Amino acid sequence: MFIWNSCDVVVVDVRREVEEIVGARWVVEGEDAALFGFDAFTAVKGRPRLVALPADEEQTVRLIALLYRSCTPMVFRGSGTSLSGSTVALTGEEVVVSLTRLNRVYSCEGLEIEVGPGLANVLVTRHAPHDLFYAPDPSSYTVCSIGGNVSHDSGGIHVPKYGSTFNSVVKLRVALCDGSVEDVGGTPYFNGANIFVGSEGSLGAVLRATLRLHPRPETSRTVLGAFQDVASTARAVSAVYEEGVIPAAVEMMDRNSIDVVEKSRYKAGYPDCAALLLVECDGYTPQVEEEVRRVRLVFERLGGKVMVPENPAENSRLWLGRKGAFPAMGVVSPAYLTLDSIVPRTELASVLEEVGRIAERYGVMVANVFHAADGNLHPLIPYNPESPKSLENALRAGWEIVEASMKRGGVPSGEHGVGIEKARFMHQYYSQSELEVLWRIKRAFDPDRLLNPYKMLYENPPETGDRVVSLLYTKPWEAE
Amino acid sequence: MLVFVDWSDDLARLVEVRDGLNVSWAKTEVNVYPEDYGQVASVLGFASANNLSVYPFCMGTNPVGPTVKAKIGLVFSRLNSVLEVSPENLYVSAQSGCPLTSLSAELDKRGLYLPTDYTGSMGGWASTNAVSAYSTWYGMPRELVLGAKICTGDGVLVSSGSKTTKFSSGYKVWKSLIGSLGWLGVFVELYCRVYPKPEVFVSGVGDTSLLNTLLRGALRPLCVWVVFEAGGREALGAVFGGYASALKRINTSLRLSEGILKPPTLEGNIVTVASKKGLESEYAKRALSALKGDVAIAYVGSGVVRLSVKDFSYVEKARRLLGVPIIVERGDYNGDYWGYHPAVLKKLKQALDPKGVLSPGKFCLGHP
Ligand SMILES: Cc1cc2nc3c(=O)[nH]c(=O)nc-3n(C[C@H](O)[C@H](O)[C@H](O)COP(=O)(O)OP(=O)(O)OC[C@H]3O[C@@H](n4cnc5c(N)ncnc54)[C@H](O)[C@@H]3O)c2cc1C
Repeated sequence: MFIWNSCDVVVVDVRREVEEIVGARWVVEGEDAALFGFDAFTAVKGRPRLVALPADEEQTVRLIALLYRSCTPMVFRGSGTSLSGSTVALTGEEVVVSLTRLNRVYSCEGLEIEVGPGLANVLVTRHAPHDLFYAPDPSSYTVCSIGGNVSHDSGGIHVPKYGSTFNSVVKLRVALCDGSVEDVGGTPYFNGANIFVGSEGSLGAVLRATLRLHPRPETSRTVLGAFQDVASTARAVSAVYEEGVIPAAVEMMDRNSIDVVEKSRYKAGYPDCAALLLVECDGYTPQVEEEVRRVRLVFERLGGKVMVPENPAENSRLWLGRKGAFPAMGVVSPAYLTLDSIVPRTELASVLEEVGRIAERYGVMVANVFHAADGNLHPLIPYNPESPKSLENALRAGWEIVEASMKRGGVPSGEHGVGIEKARFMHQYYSQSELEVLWRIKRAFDPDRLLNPYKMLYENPPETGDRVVSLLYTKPWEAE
Repeated sequence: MLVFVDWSDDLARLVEVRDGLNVSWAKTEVNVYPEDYGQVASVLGFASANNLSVYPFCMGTNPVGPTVKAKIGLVFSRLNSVLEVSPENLYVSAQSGCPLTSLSAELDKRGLYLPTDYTGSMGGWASTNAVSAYSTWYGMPRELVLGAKICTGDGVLVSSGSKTTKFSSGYKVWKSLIGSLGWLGVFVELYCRVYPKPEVFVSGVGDTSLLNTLLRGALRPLCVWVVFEAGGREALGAVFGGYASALKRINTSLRLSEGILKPPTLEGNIVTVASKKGLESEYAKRALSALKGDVAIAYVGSGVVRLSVKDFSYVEKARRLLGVPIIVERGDYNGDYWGYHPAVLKKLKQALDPKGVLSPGKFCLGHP
């Protein structure tokens, strides 16, 4: 049992006061508000009580303080591309605070750039000096926001060399529930920014982020390896590292995902194979040349067929296929789930075999396209959105994949966050005493549980009357 | 001889108790030597229940910040094993008392390395978030520690993060402990990212005018540092790592030699300046003058400058002048060692060490 401070309930006309802060034009209600009630985890659609789009930091802080004072639950939202449902307004009581208008670039000095949370990931590099770039690049980089990236600790293709968003966060300006604002981080000791990265909007709002930029590589080269079995493909991932290569990216696609891409407008001309690896090596040209030579040798040794793109157009085509693999799923199904459990690299072959068995058992076509160097699976599981049974079947298959990953030393989420999609696994992944420590953190920042309620941590399931929601919040050992 | 205090008998039932410590960086009444994680948890649970202050430490090689006076010294020297080295997954797990020299030897046998030149224990390295020349390319422990088993101030063991390269499955508790000098909780076991050891290392020294080319150019050195002396002398050093065939083609006006050069070691009173990344040299020069220091080392790309200073008389003035965190890393200072005290840290302290028993006075925020 958790004892919470009770809200200091101040009776206010929330609607009117929100409007006073952000202006009538920036308050969205009714049918239109429903558009802000869900994200890229499309299995659950919420309906916010109200959506407010503050113009700047000052309005945001006033808004948060007002909502907190009046005991109104709130959900911070960036571009709404979360794949774990962490922006879904589950109960209908939530005010969605959309931070997309906080999209300024404040400064760029040395290797640092300071931006608003609403700025799209792609625009960070665009605003950086020509010799620098921002490394974290989720496949959604053209739309997803920096606030969302920070709050999920998003990854992307270039994590193997440059790290996830965490590694690129230098400092944050955060708004806390009592209406205070703090600049945290930017120091080697006592770094208050660390806890906010990956906290899914449950501790406060990110108002500003100072991000680290990297020098652009002199050269970047791609090697494609096409293999006749998944085990050799998985083995090749570790073998690349054993050769001393630190690749910028290693992406894997299995036969199902290749087939899907080849049927779509992202068609890349991939060879017919059981699985392929796309490796990118970047940096100082002579080093890259040697890395490419070694990657080729590794692939050949393990029976792979090697392709090295001969021109930039061919290179782009190969990567476009990978980057389009998610939307390409549209050719086989109008909806699909995307999971992101992560395992040690050495467990890839075994977990992929298990994924195959699970897919067969549930009668679903699972397409695997993922960040192989990180062992970060992305099984795409199609379902029919008109059929609750089909969705339930896909969810259950997904849960088994997450469990199979955890059994192999993995964790439920490598980059998409827990949200509502994986909330049930928190009770399986953590012990009760560990969970209580996470709750202690939550309580210290959000004593009344008003910030993004039911995401990541929950004690009792939300009462929404929605069957999918109650399935998602059933603790694994309570499931029939 | 063991000093008997009324609670020490009870403590001795949990763990081996010995004489305390009386050195410049810590004073403790007794020291305890846990041999497993359960004992660490029991000691902290006991201390918390009895409001006894605790100072966690191991080798004492790199104390940072003010001297701590505590009832109990929690010594990690017996939790000193390397647990697992995974060349395929490129991680190592080790207990927090494991000396980095032992760890490096283990890694070396398998052609791997942890990019740092820190010489204390794993727990000390993470708790001090120790900068090194390698931070230019690889970052600091903040970036390198993938996960850990930690213990809260009231004795709850928590696994946070994992051996995987990424983790978005709950609050990053272990990351908050990095650089927090044992004030929020203690590390008992750490999982760190390691790298294949480059085939060759080549070091270079040269003119500081090369700095920008090194930092933002094609070569991507692993280490770049600049040393500034009070008399106006400046020297730049860099280390490159990679395949022999590649490194022999480096075209630079640096004077190159094979092997690893290191920046000088600072002695005496030390101040850390948290500069903007990529502007460490500018901040080093300004800090050297503002603090009237002797030597400044800019760890280029890391956002850290360290200086040796005669005394700390100019710390407050330098803080106002430079507008970035300036920290008294080592030495006796009557003022505020940190110069910043965010409420976020206070909230974390409340959550992770509710009785405020850990490292009292290390980072004050109304907590003991
Ligand atoms: C096609 C596709 C491909 C994708 N590829 C990848 C990938 O390769 N790697 C990857 O990691 N992810 C990927 N994602 C997932 C998603 O894009 C990321 O999680 C992204 O970071 C979410 O950003 P957003 O702006 O859409 O955030 P939202 O979805 O709006 O919010 C995400 C979370 O952040 C919180 N939040 C947002 N802004 C703030 C703020 N300012 N302060 C506090 N909390 C805030 C929200 O409350 C929520 O918990 C993909 C998604 C899609 C649809």
